[in-house]
Amino acid sequence: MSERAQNDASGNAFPLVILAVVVIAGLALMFLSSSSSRIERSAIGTDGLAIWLQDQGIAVEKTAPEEIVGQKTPILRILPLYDTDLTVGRRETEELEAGSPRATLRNLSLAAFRSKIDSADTLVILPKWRSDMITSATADPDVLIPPGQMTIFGLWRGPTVAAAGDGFVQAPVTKDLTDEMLAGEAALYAPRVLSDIVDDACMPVLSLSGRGTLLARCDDLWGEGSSFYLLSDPDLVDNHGLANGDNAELAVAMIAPLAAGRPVYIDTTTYANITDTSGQDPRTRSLADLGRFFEYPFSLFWIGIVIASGLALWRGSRRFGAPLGEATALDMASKARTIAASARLLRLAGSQSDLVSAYIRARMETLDGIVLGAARRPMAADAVASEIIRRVRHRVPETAQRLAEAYGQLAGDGPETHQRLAALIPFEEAFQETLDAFGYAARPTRPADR
Amino acid sequence: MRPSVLLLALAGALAVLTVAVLAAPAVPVEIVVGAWLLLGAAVIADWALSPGARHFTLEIDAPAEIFAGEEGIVALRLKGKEGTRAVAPTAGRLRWPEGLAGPGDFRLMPTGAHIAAVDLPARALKRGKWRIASVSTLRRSRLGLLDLIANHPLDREISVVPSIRAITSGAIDTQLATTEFGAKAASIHGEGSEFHQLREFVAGMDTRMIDYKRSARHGGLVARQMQAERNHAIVLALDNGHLMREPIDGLAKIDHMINASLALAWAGIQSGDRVGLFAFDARPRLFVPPMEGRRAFAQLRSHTAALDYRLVETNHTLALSHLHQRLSRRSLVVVFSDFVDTTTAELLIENVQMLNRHHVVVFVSLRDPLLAAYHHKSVNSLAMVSEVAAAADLERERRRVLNSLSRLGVFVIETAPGGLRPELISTYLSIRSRELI
Repeated sequence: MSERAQNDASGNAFPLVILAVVVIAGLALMFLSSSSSRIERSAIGTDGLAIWLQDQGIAVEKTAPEEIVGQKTPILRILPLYDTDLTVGRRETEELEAGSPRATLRNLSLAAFRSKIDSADTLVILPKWRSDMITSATADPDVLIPPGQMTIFGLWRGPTVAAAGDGFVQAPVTKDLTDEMLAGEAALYAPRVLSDIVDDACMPVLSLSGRGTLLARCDDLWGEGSSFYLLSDPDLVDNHGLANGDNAELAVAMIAPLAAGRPVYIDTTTYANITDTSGQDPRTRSLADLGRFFEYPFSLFWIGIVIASGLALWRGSRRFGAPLGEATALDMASKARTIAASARLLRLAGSQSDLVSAYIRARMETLDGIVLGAARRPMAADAVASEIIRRVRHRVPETAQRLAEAYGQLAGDGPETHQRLAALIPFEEAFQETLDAFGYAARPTRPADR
Repeated sequence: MRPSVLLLALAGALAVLTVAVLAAPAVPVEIVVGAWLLLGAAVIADWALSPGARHFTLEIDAPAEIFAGEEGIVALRLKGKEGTRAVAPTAGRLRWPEGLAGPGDFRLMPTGAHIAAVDLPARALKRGKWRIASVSTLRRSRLGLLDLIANHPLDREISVVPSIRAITSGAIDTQLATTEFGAKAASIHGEGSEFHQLREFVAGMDTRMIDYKRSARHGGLVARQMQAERNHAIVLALDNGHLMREPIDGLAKIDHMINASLALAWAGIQSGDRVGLFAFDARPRLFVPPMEGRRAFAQLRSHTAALDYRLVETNHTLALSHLHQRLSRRSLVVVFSDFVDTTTAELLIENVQMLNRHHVVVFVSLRDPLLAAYHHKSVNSLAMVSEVAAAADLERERRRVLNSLSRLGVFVIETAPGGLRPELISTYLSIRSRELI
């Protein structure tokens, strides 16, 4: 439209700059917040598992279900661990793993872990790969976390897992209870099985034939009656592992009985999302928490906010009408300023007695002009006051009486200053009543700007 | 063009709706995307359907001149260019120039099928030439989602000139006529200072009127007959210092003074006198020697219209002594001035006294309603007590100075702005009839 061209002003760049900064900051925040989900999308993540399970008819929850303390949530929680020792906190982990690559990719506290296994049946997947795997996506012995470093729960004097071979190993998986062999063969690179100590503590469920326990059920490890399933090798279910051999089928065969018709929830959070009334917040705060606010579909809200803000900035950048000019100096010269300055000087002088005398003189001069008029004969100030009071007494005797009393207290040097000041109010009231009586009501003053 | 409040509200509501949709799992999230797309499509359709600024023209009809202190009507009309497009009520915004005051925001209402108009009262505050550069209009788009803003350049000049309303309305002519009624014939013979004719001396004539030189030449007694002088010189001395910028009743003092001085100039010219102009502030600025005739009035009008508003202290000594030097014959000097401090007042008295020795001086000052208001102002604090005392001091000092001037034989006029013109002309006529010049 033509007015668009007319209204384009060169000074409108500022809102655009602000808008650009807001957009860049938003993008940066989204990038930062999405760094945690980078693990899920990587070779060692579990995004693929969710899709695969859905394809196979197993329901998968995308959002965290509501969980309440003391109640079993009807889900199968799949909890992939990326922490080699749950008893070590974030700061200590950072100190231990000062250089890259790191073995702990996502810190999880033991308390949060125990809350999770208490609230729902849980399949815990142990870690295997270091952070290099995310960036290089190449299986290599150097990228593996050494079994000796894996003291996951801090329960046993020794590692939780043991190596069960080098390079790619293809082996069938058998059920320990029935010795029944599952269809297909697992294809794992440098497979991991549960160590002997864990094997003793937990009940094996599935084994990599001839190499060791792959999946075990651990009951009552902390003496609280809670139990969970422990999978020693994540490659059976992670993104790159699912594509190898018959891992995908084996994963379904393994998870389906555990789920037992319940939906599966792949838990990637680092806090226990459980409604807790104990007053203590067991969650560990991280930037990932903030990131949830920017994930789809909540990102739609932010897009809406950005559009609404953009519209507001657009509206603000288009002026309707010419800018207002500065006030003119026409009002600069005014007697009001002279009077205000003189009055201030009178007050600063500190002589309140003189101030009262000047005020009385001014008021009596006003009454002189109104009551006696211009044609009065010359006389002394006291005589003028007496004459004024006499004339006022003819018209309003009561007011004249009060005027005379107040004038008597104010006039002359006899009374103390505080007495004179106290008499100001009755005098002013009597003065205004006299004005009213003679038809000169107090008129509104001139506008305040003068 | 910019988004309207309606569009902003809709966008905000959609953002809030997003939260509601997210909170209700039963509602599909795609509804939000759909709503945004719908709103975007509506905005584009609104933009395409609404006529742009090029389809409209804005016309202005304003008086070329407005008298200072009076109001003129500035008429604005918004028309569809093709003559077929309906014009809806449109908001307008006008930034008035410094010397004019009027409503800044207004609405152009449809007066016909294809025209919207508004009449704006423009009050003239300051003399000078003021330009209305442009008017901005804001129209609603068809769907009300967009505000279509247009700036219409106008470039219309309005001159604010000294008021001669009293002259054009005939008020002064009437005042002159009523004052001089019946006095014209008597004014010629006998009295006066101007020579009229020689005539033979007869018994009963004043012997002082005998012109002995011509009587000797003529061989008989001849008497001089005089008449009232007609072409007196009147000088309007306008103080243009900072004190005269003080606004009274919405108009600067100097403008009230100029309006009254022009009325006096007209009265003087109509009575056959010659009128001049002298403007001063820190130093003498302008001297127009006394002239007669109506052309002189036109000159005086243009000179007074061109006087600037100045912010300098008046130097009465320099100005009045300069005027004294420029005047070669006895004149009526009307000093339009003001004073606040006692030092200025003393200097003023001294210089007016000097001028009054050779000329007739009228001192004109405006009574400030501000000081009068303090007489009746009700007092409820010590600060106001001191203000009342200060105002009374100021007024007392002022009265003392004006009384001093009166005692010196100077005609003093101190009145409210409304009463200035009649009193000034009355004083002039009184001085003239008393042959004081």
